[in-house]
Amino acid sequence: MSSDDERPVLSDEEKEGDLDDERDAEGEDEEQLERDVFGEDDDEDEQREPPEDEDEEDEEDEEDDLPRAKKRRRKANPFIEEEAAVEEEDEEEEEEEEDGFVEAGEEDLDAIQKEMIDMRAHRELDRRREEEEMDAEEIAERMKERYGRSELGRGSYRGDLEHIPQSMLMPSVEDPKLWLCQCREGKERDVVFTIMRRAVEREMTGNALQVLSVFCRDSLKGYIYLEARQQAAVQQALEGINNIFISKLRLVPVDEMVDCLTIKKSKEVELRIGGWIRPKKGKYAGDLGQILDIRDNGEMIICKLVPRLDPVRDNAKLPFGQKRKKAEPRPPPKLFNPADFKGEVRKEKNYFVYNNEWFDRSGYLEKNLKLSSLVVENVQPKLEEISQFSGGTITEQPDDLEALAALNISRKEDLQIGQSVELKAGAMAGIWGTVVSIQKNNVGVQPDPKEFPTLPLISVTAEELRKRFAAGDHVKVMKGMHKDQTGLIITVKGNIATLLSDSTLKPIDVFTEDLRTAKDIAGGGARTSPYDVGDLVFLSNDAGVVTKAERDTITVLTQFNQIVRVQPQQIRNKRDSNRAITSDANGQSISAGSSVDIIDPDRPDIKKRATVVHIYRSFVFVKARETVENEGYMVVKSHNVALVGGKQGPNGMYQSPYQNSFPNRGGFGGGFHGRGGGRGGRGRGGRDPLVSKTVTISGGEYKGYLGIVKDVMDNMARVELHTSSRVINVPRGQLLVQGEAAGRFGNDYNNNNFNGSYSRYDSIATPMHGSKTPMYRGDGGYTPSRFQDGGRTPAWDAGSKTPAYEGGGRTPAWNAGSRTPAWDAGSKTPAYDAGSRTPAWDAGSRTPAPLRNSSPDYPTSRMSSNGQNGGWTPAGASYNDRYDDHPAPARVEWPIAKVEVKLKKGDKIGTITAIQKAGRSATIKLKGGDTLSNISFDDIDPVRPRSKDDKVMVLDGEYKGRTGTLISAEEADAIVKLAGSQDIRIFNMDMIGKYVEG
Amino acid sequence: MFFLKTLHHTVRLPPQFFGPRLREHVERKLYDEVEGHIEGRYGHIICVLDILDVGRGVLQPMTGLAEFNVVYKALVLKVFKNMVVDGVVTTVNQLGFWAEIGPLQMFVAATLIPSYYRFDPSANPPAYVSDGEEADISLRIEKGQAVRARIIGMRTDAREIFCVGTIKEDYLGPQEEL
Repeated sequence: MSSDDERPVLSDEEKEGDLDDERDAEGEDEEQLERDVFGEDDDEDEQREPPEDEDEEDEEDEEDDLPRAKKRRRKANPFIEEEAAVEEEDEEEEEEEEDGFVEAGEEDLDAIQKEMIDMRAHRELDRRREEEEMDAEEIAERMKERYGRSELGRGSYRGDLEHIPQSMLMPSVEDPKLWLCQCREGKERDVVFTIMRRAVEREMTGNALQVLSVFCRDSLKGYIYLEARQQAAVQQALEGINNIFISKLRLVPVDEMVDCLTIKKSKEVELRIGGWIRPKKGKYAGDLGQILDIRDNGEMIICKLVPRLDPVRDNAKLPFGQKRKKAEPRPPPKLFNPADFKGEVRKEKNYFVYNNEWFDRSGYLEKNLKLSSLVVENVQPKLEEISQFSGGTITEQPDDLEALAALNISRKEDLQIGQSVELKAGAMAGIWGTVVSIQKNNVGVQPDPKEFPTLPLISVTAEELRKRFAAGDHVKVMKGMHKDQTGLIITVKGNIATLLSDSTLKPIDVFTEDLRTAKDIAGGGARTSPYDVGDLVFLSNDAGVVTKAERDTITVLTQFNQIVRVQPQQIRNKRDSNRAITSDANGQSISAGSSVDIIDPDRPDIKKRATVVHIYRSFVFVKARETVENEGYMVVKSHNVALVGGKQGPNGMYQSPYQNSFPNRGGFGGGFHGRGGGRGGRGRGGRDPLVSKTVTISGGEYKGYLGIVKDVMDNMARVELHTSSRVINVPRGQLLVQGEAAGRFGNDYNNNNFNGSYSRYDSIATPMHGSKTPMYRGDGGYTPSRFQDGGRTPAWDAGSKTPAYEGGGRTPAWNAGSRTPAWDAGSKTPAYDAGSRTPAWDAGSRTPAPLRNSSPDYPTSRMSSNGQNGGWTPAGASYNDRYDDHPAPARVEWPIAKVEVKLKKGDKIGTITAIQKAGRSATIKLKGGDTLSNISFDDIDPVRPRSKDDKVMVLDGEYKGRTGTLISAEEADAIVKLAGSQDIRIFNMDMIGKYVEG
Repeated sequence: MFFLKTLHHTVRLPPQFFGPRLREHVERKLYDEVEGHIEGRYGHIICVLDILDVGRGVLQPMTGLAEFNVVYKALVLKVFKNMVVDGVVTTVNQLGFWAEIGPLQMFVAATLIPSYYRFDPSANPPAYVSDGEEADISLRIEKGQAVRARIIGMRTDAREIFCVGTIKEDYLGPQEEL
């Protein structure tokens, strides 16, 4: 309308004008609204008029354009800033006002306008001329004079004028007042708009609203603010409006007015599309979300979340009135899949709608959330969380990295003096150096002297810094999922470093802010895994020993000698090997704790000493202290190990515990202990062999009675008498097993003073036996140890384990198990023994004497095996030696006919011609021709073959009874060619005797 | 880099070896204890070349062991950051490849392999294969291949020296012949 009139004058700006026109059409209404609501003061308009008239036509090229525009805007509504800021609209507005003034006569209008335009043009011309004469300073002065007032005089608006001190803009008592009025909660906006409409309606009428502005705050529910000069104006504006409680009108004190309009900028600064948030409450509390859009002046935020839906529960219709329990765990986050919710999903544009929630194509939930319900600051998303938003991976696209870079801000606490850092913001961005000091707010950074030699120490805030790492640095992760992992940095991109974990040897992505240079290698950190090094664990197919246990990875040495790295979940279970038992190369039973030599079948000369840790079928897991690989753990087949101590049988099993508990006893003590323990164990674990035997009672009230042993407890046996079918308790020592030699049963066993007992024990005058006594029986304190070992019960185990199945055909432990201590100790008849003897049997009775006699060089010759056991104490060493040695000559069962023997008394040499096993005696034909009969086994020693081609007989072991020819004899070993075959065997000297043919 | 270094080591000898061939035992024990092991500052001891002094054994009162302070000359391998080394590839997977530099282990991550190498998991053995555009001939990084790499970082612990290397530079990568 009026702009059309203008146009002829503004011929050179026609184009502009057209544009204006178009916008006018849209802007008109709104402007009017504003004006009405915020009611222009007439007096002010008048004041403003002259300058407006002056330059109305040519705004574009005027240097006073800007101030004018600003001044105009001040009367606009801060509520709707954008529109108010557009200049062209101002112009229009101006004209409308003018229209208002000249309402009286339409025909005068043209005239007046023309006149005004004329005047304006003239004034403009004058002014320009004037200006041309003035210099810049003068112009500035003038401008200030002319327009300065308006900036200072009006405090309510401070849009763009940031350079004006805030204090100057504070409202004072002269300014319009602010009123607070209560309204119905949730209706604040409605009320504001109603008032606005009313203002528009009444704009042109006599009773236009005298309210300057109306607004509400989303943070303050149930209240609206009105700006007016008088309370009456407020009341007028509110009269008859719904949802308002006009009685609750309150004046806002001047000093609080600013707060009413202050929007907390600090929070908004953080808001950025693509930024991260966390809802504070509800189902998604604590989850990470991404800002998709910001609405309503930053109060409403559209977020992208990973939905937590539970198809089952969400679908379950609850009975009316019943509330869902709060305690129900929330479903895990999972991307929305329309297939899970068939029939309930609606498709809308690019969204799926389910349960009034919108899901995008990729399955993320898009949700409107109020800013106040979100954590927007210091969100610190974890890399894993973010990767959920980028489809599982962090792409190297600039967007991603940029977004990531922004979200992990280093804090002061993360920094350490000496840390290499880079400035990421400010004028000096890109400079790197070392942290030299950390004060309250500032961090002192010394720029790298090589790259930036001229730069002085810089003081910056921690937020401006980024930790700097180079590929190859060894670092430790301080936070997040990979906490406490260490590794070498492979690459650094932005603020994400890829490092190769020391423990898993896999690359992991972490924020550089979470890293710290580290020297140490920490595998799992404080949280330990349930598996420990040395555990026997079972994987899906294999069994193995843990050689390294870290938090996430467990390294297992499997039975097939493979190193596998598994996760703890992959381990089925773990076991101990307390009861496992198997046979070694020599048929000795070995169990956990046994010391063994590992035999390499290809290189029999190389032996490695190790301790059995676990046994799994025929695989023996051993630990060798001197091996560093796999923490010293190795796996070997059971036939490739030999129990240390040769054919010492079950003793080996006990040696370590006994060695430990009685080091002072040296080899000697250890050995007997071994035996005692073994016996104890057997007595406990297995069925006593006496049970169900028919016995004769040899003493006490029931002497001479016959009965069957029902049960045996310690020293007492419960015997059911044949005659009266009564069960009586009889001391063990008073029992004689039918069919065995009389008087044997455990008599000496029970006999503490040992005197008057069997010749076997004291009359066999070998030093060995003598020295055995105190420990074996006299030592009362011994008993506990015997039984403390009861839990080991190897024999008992062995019986159920059938070592034969795994090892060789030999069952060393079997016999051991079926014997009772008592039985062992005294009641044995040679005959009985001869048949059922096991190599193990005699272990305890061995004498250390041969060892002592061995040549001084002995240890040396064994160097390869012994040399490795660096840490041995003397006692241990001798103990070991003892086991390396071979059975003493004074064996009870060795005698075989045709073996040359030497009488202990008198040094006479003879040959055994006959043996009386029952009496443990032999008939010997002396060299001289005499024949001695009934010579006790204990009084003779076999003559050892010395020279080549001596005929020998094997007295013990597998080849017992075989004859052969001595090929060579060295120290304790004899090489024998067995008769009847080409076999050449190495025997212990103790195991063979000189054989006399014929 | 290889160094010839005079080093010390304390050998503790159990009493059963006290005898005519004592020196032999000490030497044997020294070999066992130092060869193939890591000497923190000096790197990987490859072999003992010469035993300069065995010293006089001192008995430890508590254990009965004799301590010999042995001075020996050893060949030592020590690697440094930024050193270019030759090695042989031992394992290849999509994370990168492992190579042995003599007794040391080196890992070259996939990100440190030039981009024109692509991992071919279907190849047997798995390999990184260059597409032939950047390189004149098609190069393969597979098990047994000789490679030259530059060490960008390393970690030394009690038992091994472990390096991270790169071949993303000129003249690095698979080599015809070492």
